[in-house]
Amino acid sequence: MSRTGYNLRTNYLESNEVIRRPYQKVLVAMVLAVAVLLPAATSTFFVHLLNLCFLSAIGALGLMLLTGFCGQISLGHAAFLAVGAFTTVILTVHVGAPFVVVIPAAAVTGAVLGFIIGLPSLRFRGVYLAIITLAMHYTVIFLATSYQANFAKSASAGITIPDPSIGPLVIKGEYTWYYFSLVLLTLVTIWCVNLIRTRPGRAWMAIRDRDIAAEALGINLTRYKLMAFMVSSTLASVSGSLLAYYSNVVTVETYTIDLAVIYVAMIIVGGMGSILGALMGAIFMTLLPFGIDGLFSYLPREWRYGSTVFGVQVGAVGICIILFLLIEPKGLAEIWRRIETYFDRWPFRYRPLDTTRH
Amino acid sequence: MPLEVQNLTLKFGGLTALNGVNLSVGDGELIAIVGPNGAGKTALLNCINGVYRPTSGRIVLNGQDITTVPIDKIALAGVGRAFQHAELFPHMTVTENLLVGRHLLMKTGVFSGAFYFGAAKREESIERKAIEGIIDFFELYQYRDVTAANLPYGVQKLVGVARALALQPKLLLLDEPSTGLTREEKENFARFLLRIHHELRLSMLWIEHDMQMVADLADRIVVLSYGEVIGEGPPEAVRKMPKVIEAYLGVD
Repeated sequence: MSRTGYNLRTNYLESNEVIRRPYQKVLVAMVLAVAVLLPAATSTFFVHLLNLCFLSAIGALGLMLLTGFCGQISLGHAAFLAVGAFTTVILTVHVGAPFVVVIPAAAVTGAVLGFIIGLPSLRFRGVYLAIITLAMHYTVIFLATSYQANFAKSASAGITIPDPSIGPLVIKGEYTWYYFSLVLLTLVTIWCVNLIRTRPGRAWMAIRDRDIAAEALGINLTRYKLMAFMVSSTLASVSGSLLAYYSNVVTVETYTIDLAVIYVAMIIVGGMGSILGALMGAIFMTLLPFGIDGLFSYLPREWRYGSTVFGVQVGAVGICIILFLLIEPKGLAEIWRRIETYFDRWPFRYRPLDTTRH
Repeated sequence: MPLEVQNLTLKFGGLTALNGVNLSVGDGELIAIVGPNGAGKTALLNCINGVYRPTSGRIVLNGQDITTVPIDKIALAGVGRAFQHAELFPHMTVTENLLVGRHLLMKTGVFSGAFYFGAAKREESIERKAIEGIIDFFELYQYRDVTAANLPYGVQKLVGVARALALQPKLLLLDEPSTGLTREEKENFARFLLRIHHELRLSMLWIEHDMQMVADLADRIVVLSYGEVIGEGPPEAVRKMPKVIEAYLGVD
């Protein structure tokens, strides 16, 4: 619930606006301006990290639509990323298809697989659905492993793929990729926000909240659940394809069940049912291992074994999920909302009204 | 005849929830269903609504047999339902809840929705205006942007009715809309019920426990007990039926 001062509206579409308050518009403009200027002020390595954040955020948005908005649990997100990556491999290595063909192809493959995986969601929910998506994960990984072993000879270290190019423009190097992924992420975010504020998004949220009531209002559960799975897996697959292009190398070892859990962690840490949360969670979870790595460099040398660092990185993901679920189940997006409320009411320090969505 | 229920029987294993129920709702008629707990009132609505598939019998809506039609298609055929516990979408605002009610009247799909500008935006504007009419009808002005979970219970139930009305049904099913309301909220609700009845002239099937309210407002009363219709007719007549007094009303 927003405060009365901001509720003065003069036309019906204003209640559908995403950025409602003047200062929020300024804030978004500032964030975008900083994002555009940032590469000039930081190291190549940090730009590389941001690229990883942006590209995985596309996948996180997909999972957020499915789990955060449509309420369907999926542990198969890593498999959807793998599908995108291996579509890229097959099309570039065997067919030599250009980037502008590969990305739509990855989207279509993702959508088809999403449709197939969506089918059990019509009969199962909750934990059972999670197990089915997990089974799908192992099936896809099995297929990818056999492909890598049989068709990509001498590919124990992974299959290399060339830099993508759109017409004469070759997307190569951290800086080009930075602007490319920034534009893509902005576009995808706008698409997701638009979906959420129109009919399909409302239908998804209705299914998440009360599926029988949603059905009684004429929402076709089959259709909308499948649609959510397809949109989600399309975004994941495109994200997987882009990440493959970005790293120039694809190997099946990347797509572990750990990765699927990290994506789930992204949307939990970011805050379920929030597009902003998906972005924040993706950035947080992508930077977390590097942050831990950085912290370890302050420790004495004999503590810095690779296995120790790796163990702490994996453990930190789990601890993050537990801490957020216990202390702030609505995630980073909710923390941000509280900061906003604080400044909104300054200099008065009333306790924030409990208008939280639960 | 907007709704005709013919010889409807519903069995769960050995338990007979409804046994040969016959019922009809005329044009613009307000029919109340009363009966003791477990009489099968909600089960009857669930059958009409498509939540349950009856064991035998027929349900005919405006000449169309909807006995085996799935839930969402029954909404499409023109049945709106307000649930017993409102069943609002708790994380969505009142406006969003009502807009979900307009789902069948809208067209925006994934692609036009994602693009937003153009057709989707126009439709949002039109439907938002239509919703304003419903907000106006139910006097929900101050609750437009309140998340459903934060609404007082009485308002939740009102929004539940408003949401069912948003899909412009030909038949409105109300499942104990006034249960759990305070005296004032009940009177307020009665006013809206009369407005729907007289201004919109909508056919309604209304489950209710408050006999005073039923006697004052309903055109006809159907009394259910153990899954069977034990009395039917205008309020004055039904209140005097010995079987109804024995099964439900009791004696002073």
